Amino acid sequence: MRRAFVAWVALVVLAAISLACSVAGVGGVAVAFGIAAVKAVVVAAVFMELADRPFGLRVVLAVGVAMVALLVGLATADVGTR
Amino acid sequence: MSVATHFADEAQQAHAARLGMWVFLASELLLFAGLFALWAGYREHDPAAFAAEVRRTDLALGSANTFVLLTASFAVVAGVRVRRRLGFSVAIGLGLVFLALKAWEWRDHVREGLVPGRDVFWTLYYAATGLHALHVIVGMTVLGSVAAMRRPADHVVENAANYWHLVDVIWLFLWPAFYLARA
Repeated sequence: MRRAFVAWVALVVLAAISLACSVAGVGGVAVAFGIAAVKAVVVAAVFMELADRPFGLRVVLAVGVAMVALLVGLATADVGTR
Repeated sequence: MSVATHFADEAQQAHAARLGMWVFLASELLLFAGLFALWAGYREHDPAAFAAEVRRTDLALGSANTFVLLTASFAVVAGVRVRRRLGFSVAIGLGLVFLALKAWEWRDHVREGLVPGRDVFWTLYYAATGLHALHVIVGMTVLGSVAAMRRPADHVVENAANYWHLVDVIWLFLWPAFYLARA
């Protein structure tokens, strides 16, 4: 539980940093999504205990994330290069 | 827990249930990925107009909801590891707070004339936050059902918790997309 509590504190601090950056106009979209990605990793690794799961389960999630990156990345590239 | 005939033992049944849940969660990611792809494509098309609309969403309420969901996820972890009924009940309560704040936001926007169909941004905003709110309701229902069980198997509790965490993770990306990307 101590690790989960530390993770929760880290998540709250990261969210506060993300909010502060947005209000101050620092960093833009890349920083906001970068911090979101770090928070998602913390939730997956600690709250969902993915770090301790068998390899097979981690592969399932990795494939899902890769597909999301492919879809969003290529959709953006398509519009951006027209 | 009884073992279904097509499983050799309880451990195999639990592993299949966990794997099935993770495959389902991955498919949920893809469901939202379509909306994020639309968001990214339209934003790339006209970044300034998109940022102008993002500045009209309610940053205070949207951000408050981020902290509400992060805390609800922590309550769910406490539910899995320490006291199931208490942890899950707190998370359900926070889920209700989330939905109340969301409803407040929507009401204000509708009064301002910011309704679905107004333009691409607001249609996407309602589609994404609406679909997510629906997932919060399902998550609360799942947590409630498992909290009501007398002696659920470990993998049943974990699967319910992981569904909730995924709903939290999706919000972590909706937040920058619709509230933080103001420039």
